[in-house]
Amino acid sequence: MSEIQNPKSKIQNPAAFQPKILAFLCNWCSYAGADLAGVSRLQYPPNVRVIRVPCSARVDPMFILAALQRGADGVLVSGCHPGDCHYLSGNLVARRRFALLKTLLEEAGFETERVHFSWVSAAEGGRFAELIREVTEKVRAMGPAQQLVKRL
Amino acid sequence: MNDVTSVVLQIRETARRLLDEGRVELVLGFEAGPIALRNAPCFVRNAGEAERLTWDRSCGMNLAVFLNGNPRRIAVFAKGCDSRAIVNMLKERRLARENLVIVGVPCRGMIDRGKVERLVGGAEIDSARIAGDTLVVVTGSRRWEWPVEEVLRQSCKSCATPTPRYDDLLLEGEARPPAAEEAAAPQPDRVERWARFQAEAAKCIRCYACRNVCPLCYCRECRADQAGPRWIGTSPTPSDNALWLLMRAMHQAGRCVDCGACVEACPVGVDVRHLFKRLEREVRERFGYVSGADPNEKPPLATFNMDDPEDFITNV
Repeated sequence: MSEIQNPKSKIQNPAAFQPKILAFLCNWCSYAGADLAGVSRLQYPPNVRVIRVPCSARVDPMFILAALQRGADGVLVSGCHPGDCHYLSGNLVARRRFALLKTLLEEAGFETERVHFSWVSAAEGGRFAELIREVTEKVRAMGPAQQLVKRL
Repeated sequence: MNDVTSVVLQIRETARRLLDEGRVELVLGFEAGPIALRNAPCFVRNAGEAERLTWDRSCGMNLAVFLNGNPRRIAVFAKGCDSRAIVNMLKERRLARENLVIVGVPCRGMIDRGKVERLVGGAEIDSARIAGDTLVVVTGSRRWEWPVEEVLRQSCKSCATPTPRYDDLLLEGEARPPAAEEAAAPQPDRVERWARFQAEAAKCIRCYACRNVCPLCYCRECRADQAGPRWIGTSPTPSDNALWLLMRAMHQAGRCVDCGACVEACPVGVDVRHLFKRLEREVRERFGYVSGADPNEKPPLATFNMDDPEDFITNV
């Protein structure tokens, strides 16, 4: 399967694998945090594709599996810190769900370094950039995703 | 296999009584099936038919699946695992409790037909019977024998409630001792785990027998059948099969009671019970929730605790 390289990589580092990471960010906290990183002109790897959701609880485990099936090298889901959910308890319900998904993937032998969950608040622009740096490097180290990718 | 034991007599007598008294319109149990080692579900509507009911070590199916959304007044002969499934169905309001009479049947464990089929190399099983603690099977001109304990279903060997805990009436009989908690098997490494999962997924033909026999799989439109959005492809290809198995495990997380009906129903011997079992253990250890125990306990994914563990969260 041919890799579609990020054009920037040809300029920065032609040999590096550029992972495609899908990030589900909750509108009220994590997306706002990402926005703050943007207006603050903080630099972070361009490998993330953001999907804005109203709440981390909107993220169905099947979104994550579907993303992996369609070629995402990594998936990130980020919401409000527990206790700060705009909808009061969405992130708390989501927390249980994601814990179980990660356990399931681990049990099946999937490379769980590709799937990340985090809490980033609207004021944490710097922390968002740091999170993307860490997730990108972790996923880059795993190489292109193969396990659940649909080829037929 | 169909010796008329004390349990069988109690079952027939109870069925007759419940129907004669008008307490129920329908009695759900087992009758001898067309093939050996697999009894068929039996629907008895009047006392005269009660003689059809039987009970032995081939009653593995989970009868609770027929209770789903059924408006009739029904009595069901429930093993411990069936009873656990009913508890979860009550939590999810799939049943009207007042229409149900649960008759608990102490269970010694059910035979794994799939295992027997593998042991006889796929030969057609002509007959089977239990002599003492031995299962005797005849295929063609060949006769086979194993201790019954050796050919029981895995889920029976690890059953915590061989005597049903939730019922209206409990029949008298011998039950196997409750299993000590299944020791977490030494984990093979990730590469091996993936290889094992892929091997199972490769067998799957997407017949959905597992889904169809599961009492807790009751969505009117299963995600796997939905076309808008198309969550997973319908063809039995590696990625779609993997997603089907993961999807079902995830949808059963905290709901599955490990009755083993899915493993038994699978025509090609897919066994991903370890995935379901792992999630059952996880909800117990992480959230202190025991599946199928207390009908008043909230399902684990419908609630939360401020102090739920965050060990899996990526923190920077």
